[in-house]
Amino acid sequence: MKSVRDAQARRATELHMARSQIRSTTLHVMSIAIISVSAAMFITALLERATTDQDTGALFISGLVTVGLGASMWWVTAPGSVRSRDVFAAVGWTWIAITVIGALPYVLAHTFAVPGVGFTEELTNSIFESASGFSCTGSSALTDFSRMGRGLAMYRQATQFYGGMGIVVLAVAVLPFLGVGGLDLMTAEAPGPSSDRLTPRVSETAKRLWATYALLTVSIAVALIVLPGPSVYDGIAHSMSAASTGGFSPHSSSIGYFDSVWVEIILMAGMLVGGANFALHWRALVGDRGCYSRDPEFRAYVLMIVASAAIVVGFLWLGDGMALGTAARVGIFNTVSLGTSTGYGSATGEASAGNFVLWAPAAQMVLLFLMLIGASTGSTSGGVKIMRLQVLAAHSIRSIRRSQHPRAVIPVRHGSAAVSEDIVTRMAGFFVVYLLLILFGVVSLTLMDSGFIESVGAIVGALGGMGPSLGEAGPTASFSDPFSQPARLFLSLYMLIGRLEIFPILLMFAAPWRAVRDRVA
Amino acid sequence: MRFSRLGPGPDVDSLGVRSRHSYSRLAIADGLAMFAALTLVIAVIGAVDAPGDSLRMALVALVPGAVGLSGRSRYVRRQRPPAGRVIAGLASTWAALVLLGTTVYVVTGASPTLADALFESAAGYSTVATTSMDPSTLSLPIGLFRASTQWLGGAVGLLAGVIAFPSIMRGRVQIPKGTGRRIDRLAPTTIVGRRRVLGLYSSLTVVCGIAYFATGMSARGSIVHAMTTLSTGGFSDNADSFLTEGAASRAVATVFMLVAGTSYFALWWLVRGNHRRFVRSPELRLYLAIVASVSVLLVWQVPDLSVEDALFTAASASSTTGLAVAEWTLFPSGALSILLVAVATGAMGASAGSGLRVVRARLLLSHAGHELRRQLDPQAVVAVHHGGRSVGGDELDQLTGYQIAHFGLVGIGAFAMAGTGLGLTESLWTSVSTLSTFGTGPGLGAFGDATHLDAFHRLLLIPGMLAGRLSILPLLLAFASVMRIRHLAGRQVRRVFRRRR
Repeated sequence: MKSVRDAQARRATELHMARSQIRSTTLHVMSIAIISVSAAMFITALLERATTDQDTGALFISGLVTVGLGASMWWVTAPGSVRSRDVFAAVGWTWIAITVIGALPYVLAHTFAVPGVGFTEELTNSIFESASGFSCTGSSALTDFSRMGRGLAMYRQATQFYGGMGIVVLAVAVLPFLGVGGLDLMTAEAPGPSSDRLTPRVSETAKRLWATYALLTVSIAVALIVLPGPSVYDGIAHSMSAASTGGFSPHSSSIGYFDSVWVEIILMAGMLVGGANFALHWRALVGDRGCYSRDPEFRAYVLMIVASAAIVVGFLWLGDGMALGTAARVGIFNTVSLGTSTGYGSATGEASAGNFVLWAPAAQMVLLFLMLIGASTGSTSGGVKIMRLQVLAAHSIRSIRRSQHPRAVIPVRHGSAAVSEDIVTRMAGFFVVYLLLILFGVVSLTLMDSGFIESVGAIVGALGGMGPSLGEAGPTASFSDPFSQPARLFLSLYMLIGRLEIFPILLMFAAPWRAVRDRVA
Repeated sequence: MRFSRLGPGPDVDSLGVRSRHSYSRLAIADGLAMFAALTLVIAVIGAVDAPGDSLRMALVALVPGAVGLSGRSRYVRRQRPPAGRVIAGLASTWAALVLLGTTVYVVTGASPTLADALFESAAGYSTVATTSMDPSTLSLPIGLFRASTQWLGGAVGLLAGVIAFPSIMRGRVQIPKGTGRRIDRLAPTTIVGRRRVLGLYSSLTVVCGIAYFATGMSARGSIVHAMTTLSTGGFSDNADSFLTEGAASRAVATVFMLVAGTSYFALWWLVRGNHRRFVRSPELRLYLAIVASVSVLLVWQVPDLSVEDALFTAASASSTTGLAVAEWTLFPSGALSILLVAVATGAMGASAGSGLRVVRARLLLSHAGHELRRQLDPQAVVAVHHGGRSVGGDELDQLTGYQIAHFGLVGIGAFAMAGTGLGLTESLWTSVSTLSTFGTGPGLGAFGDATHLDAFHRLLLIPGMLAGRLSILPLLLAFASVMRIRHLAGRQVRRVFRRRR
């Protein structure tokens, strides 16, 4: 079976070679990603036609343009080298391309067209919404949700479904000739320090990850439709943003729209599963039930959520004087939502108990920490990731012990395993870059006339894929009010930086630059 | 001298006097002696204005003076004390000074409650510009004593940064440049180094005081401001800091705040006539570039702010002093975030200032660049350079580990502040500002008025002040010791249970 597949892959590669094509991994991966996004546009166009028929034309034309562009790119390009710098360029430019192309339906449907607002503002908001969708952030510039038809709203949800597991992982799964270097591509896109190989073949690993992800999405949808009874449309829409820990909802009041404990419980379960390592889920599915309890990161993940929820509920109950039941309901839901970097809100209105910007400052501080930390590696969530923080905490303790005993040899451990010095240094480097990005982002946003705490929340949230910010950009507010147009574009870039774990976007210019430099030399 | 590695042990010198090795006790004795000497001088000067306060202060100073002198004759310094002892010694000295300062405030009635006195004393000895007093109502001896706490705190911090930490962590980059290399040393021995640092510190204070006086400031104001400027303390004789002072006084303050935030190694080169080396110091250049950039950005962000005031505010933030010429907490958010970055970065290494330190910030930036390069070329061997030498991976690891702990402490501090009901912006600012020994900020105001905070809130700030002044090591080592004691106790309990079974 494998040899047949290999032969097919070789034949496909030879076919590509036969045509005089441009050899570029970046453009080729990009073409596949663009074609796959067009599928969402066509499907949601059909939904739009069958339901509200408000934005059918916009979705259909977007689909045609996108598939045309993707197909022509695929035809004229062939995969090239897969060196580190090419990997970053491929992943980085692909995400930029799908973000821009993904904004097309919003632009054509005039979703953000408001009287007195120019086209550039409309374009900015469309790109912001698209970036927020694909990066699974969940922030929105929408002020009027009724401007979207059901199909367009579902397309918005679908962007998060694509972004959750990663569009490049999808490309690796369907492109056999990306076997060599495919792991690097996956690692560059996957959340976390490394990508677990579930099978020896990278494309098989990618397929299994996508299968697990799809199974989770379907399970949430079925649970939502069968148990508490939201419509099929709402069930499917929310299942996509829960499994991807994206946080979009077709309703302006997010999950507060349902005001149902059952919906919240199912979505919390979905978010918690989405925030755990998908390699663990696969192992559990194939029979290794004890893999969760053996994993030190998963244990820390559960502990973090439980402890944070307890602190938040405590502050809401004792500090803000909420009834214990209400405090527990809104406290646990929002903790899980932000602890898994989803960003759903449970506020039914601006003054409701679920609006966390009105909570005690300490409870909000816990949420801010959760936004920074994120969930597990190999999950659909964002943030620094628990495993990195575990290793860095051990590294920090070692540094302090070494200041007492300078010659001591103290290994850094994660669970019972010693972590290699190279990985520790890389994780420390990642953390330093992450903090510098936060610092740079907050200063830049405040210089663009945004409020201080709004900027802190927005930058930490954008890098961590969270969605709602703090202050005036809370869960019930649109980002178009507290942030200026340049600030929203800046945040769009930060969302992509955060989704791709910093390096691909920062280094995507390196490959073209080096190519030019080498040619000049 | 016999070299002993185990605890305090007896030693007999050539005159037959029995002395014991103990770094901690000798450090405390030194601190007590300095406290007593300074307080007695202030009591004598202050007797003109408030003899009652002066007498009480003198009485409080007598006991520690006697204990300090006796300790100095009884204990000798080890040649190479272990790191833990040095850190414990510095922390104990700081704690002893804080307790004595508290006693002075309580005995003289300057602070109405014990919590107020403890807070004022801790803020003084950690050179934080937060106060629970109205300085314009204080008598001369109390006003001078309050400034002297900052001066002494600055001296302790300086000796820790320039002499003590480099001797225990030789060659580490988190310690100022070149202390591991003989050519860069301030002095051949720690004792000579200590004398030189204190000599330079005292001389600069005197020059600063004369400069203030020459600009028309009162004698009392000149002494107080000289002591709090060179120590990067930030206490003022006026409730509104430098708001009502003249332009010349502000200019003097700006210059001396910048000097206070400069490395004493660089200042020593300047004193010795090695101007070229002083000017070529990369850390100094970066420090001045930060101050200049912050000033320019402040002028751009705050329309009514003059260049002089912007420079003053930037120098105050970068040197972590805390003096103010404007209610800058009402500045636009852009200006506030720039100031926050300046405060968090702090002054140069081996200076009286605090914060992350410019040298460490520079190395962390290099480390970030290094990491990006490694992502592109995983096999490339890329070295981080500092001061003409490549910094080893071990040193960088130590630095990042230390900074992660520092960052964690900022988070804990912010959470603790938020737990008392302070807003998010105010909590973050207060945590960063306290750990950098800046002291002022949104929540405390530009003039560091902490009278509106309750006692619990103020007491929460004290560990942060200690961490800011003497680095986070004492706090973390104390935490590690508690954890170790818990671990040992747990093991003991388990053994007992096992035996019973």
